[in-house]
Amino acid sequence: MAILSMKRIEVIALQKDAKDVIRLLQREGVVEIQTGEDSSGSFAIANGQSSLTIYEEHRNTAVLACKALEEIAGIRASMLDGFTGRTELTEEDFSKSTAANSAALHMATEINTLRVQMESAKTVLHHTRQQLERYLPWESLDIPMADQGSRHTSVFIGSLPAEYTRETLAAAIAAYRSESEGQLAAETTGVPTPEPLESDGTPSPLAVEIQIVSTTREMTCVVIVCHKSDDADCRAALRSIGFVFPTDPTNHPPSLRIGRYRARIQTSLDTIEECKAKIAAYAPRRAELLFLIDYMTMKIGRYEALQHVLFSRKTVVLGGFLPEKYVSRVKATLEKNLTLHVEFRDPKEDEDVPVLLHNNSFVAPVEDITASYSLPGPGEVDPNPVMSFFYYLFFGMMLSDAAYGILIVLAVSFLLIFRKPEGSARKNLLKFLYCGMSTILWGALFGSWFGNIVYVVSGTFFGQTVALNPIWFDPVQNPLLLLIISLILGFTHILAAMAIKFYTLWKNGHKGDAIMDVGFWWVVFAGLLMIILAIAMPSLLILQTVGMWTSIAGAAGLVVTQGRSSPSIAGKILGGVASLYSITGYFSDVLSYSRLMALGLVTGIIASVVNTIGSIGGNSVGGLILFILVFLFGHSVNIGINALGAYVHGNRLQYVEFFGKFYEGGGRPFRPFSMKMKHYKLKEEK
Amino acid sequence: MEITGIVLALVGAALAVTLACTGSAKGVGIASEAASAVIIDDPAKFAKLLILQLLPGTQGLYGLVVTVMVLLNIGVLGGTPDVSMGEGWAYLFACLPIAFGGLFSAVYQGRVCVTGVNIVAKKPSESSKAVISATLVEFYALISFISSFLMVINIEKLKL
Repeated sequence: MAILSMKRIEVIALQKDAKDVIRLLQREGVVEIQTGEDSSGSFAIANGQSSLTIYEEHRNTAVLACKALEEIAGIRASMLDGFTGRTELTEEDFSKSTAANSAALHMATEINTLRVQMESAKTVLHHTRQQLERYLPWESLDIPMADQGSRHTSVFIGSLPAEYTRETLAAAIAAYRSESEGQLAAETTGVPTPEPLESDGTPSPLAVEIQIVSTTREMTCVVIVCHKSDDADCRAALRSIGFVFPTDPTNHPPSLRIGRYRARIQTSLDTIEECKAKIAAYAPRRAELLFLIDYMTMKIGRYEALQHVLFSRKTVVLGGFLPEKYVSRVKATLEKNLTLHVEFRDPKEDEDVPVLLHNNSFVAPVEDITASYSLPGPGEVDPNPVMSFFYYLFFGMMLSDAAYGILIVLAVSFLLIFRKPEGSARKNLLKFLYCGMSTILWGALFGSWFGNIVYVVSGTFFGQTVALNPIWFDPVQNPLLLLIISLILGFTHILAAMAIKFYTLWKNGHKGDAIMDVGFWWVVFAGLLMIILAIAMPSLLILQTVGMWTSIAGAAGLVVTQGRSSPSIAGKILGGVASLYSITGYFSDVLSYSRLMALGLVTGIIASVVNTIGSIGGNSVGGLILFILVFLFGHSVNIGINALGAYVHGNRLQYVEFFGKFYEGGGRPFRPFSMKMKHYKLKEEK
Repeated sequence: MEITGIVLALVGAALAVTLACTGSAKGVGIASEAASAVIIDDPAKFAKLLILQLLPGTQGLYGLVVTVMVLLNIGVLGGTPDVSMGEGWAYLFACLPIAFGGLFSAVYQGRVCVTGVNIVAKKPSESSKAVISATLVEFYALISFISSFLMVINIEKLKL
């Protein structure tokens, strides 16, 4: 149990067998490969970079193709995919799929070609649509947009930045005319204007023919025809109201160009549809792509491993670590298939040995929590067995609602049974399975089922209140008792941590340290406990005196021993006395467990408040609907927030209060060289 | 307006929910702003970031719970409101821990979450450490809440 002991493996093989050695080790998946030992200096590392690049390209092709296929064939990733296990392959299927790889790679290339074709069609489509947009307002114009006029007429074809009708536009042009005439008259004072005047003295309006081609609120497309002699005036009048010529006018009626664009859009759409259909037709062969990705990942892994292998002209050398229990298996596999020399030995003191934990299914789920803090360093014990028990216990106490616990257990069981997850996803689910069970237990002890749902529902809808009585006590009625229980559990947790420290020191031969650093504190605690007991039960008054002296004895032990690392006498005394100050540390650590009470109360209180709000509608159809809505929403939020709270505060108690007492960490995780396949796995041969 | 017990109790209830929710809004707001910046580049981190975004939100909930408890106890949510002057003051003071504890803890927790978002952006594997750091602050909101709650539910027994 706990930390597996590691062996160093050294393999010396013929050079021609190098790839086979790697292949076999990858299949076994239990060896972490490191560069072998080379004391002679006659070995070199092979350069497999070019092969590596090729395989990476192939994998990339497959990944891109697979993504395109999934997108077009509508294969969506579901939220539950993270909990789904890999497909099992027999040895036979595996070689069959391997043989089909070149066909799969061909398909992947094909899909990618189609995808690129589709992408460029999309670009053309987008661009053409933008162009079309510019000419659409001109569609009903039946002369070329570039038309300038005839011998006697000037034609202005362009757009105005506002909405006009024939009448308003004519008025706008006329207004300009009268304005400029007025200015002109003012400037030239008295000189008769060259333009013919109407009988009432105002200048005659420009003779223009206006045709509105199209109009929107932002833009009006117009054709304006006037006599050549009025060209300049008309131009000026139009400019004053923001008239602009189109940037790229057509030399034919615009409908011709519009038709061309429409045809191009249709072709692009057809191309896209065609490519999509062709890609989607590959959907039944998606499995081949997934296998190809896995296969290439595996190959890449092998070539990366080969970079750690030392080559001479005739031989290769490689080394690594593996758990002791696999030694005979690996030895047998290698020696059965190849001619080579394999050697196992205990790791040396200064070697950086990786850490692999192995625990039963009750303890293993919390390994990830420890790993995300740090793995056990050299000489340390695996804290998981002790931690798992407390972790589940505390989680349940903090969530503490039986109905929530049941929901968690049901959801997790469903995923475990129907999605068959593997690895850390499975461990996580198992962790929540145990946490859920613990939650049911604590919830029942505290009488919380969706808070006080039974009480509220019976009171609101059935007219008489029924309450589910707690098996132990109701924390809201007696929060002090809950606080005391929390602190006692917390103190037990800390004592357990100190016990592990004691054990580690003792095991590593520091027996004196174990007694001085841990034992004396226990004596102090024992004395303090006796005093508390005496206060609680006055009949045991004698304990008060005994306890006091026990504590003092323990404290004296600490004062004498805790400064021992200091070189000077004064330092020893000072260090010893100062060590007593850490009693405040223990005190605050224990108080920190009050969060068990706080979070436990919060769940029940919020649940009850949700129920109360839900029952405001009273006993009616509307009231029932309100209740159901509030119930679903409120309890979903509550279970989410409090499960998250229980999880993170549970972690914190392990990391800060528990690990802080004894745990150093710093171990390097064991990363075996393996197939690392994402979608498939080889069936274990029985 | 005559200051009666019920007015004082309602001031307390209003303070509890207003200040705690203000803090939560601020905390969730700054954490979400930071998270959005990460999600632009890597939408897959959304789930991990969501936890950090939500953590400063609990204070608002605690405030709401205290307010509802006060309203229930003073009979505003059904029943006949009957609150003496002494009880009114008691409710007002009982609401202060979650009001101010919630306000400040949510804002500071939000700031821790912002830095936590950085951790998730740069080292996603260490995200649990970011969450743990944020809970260090959460604990004080929890203490404030429990203190307010225990006071509120026991005021009736005091016969003030």
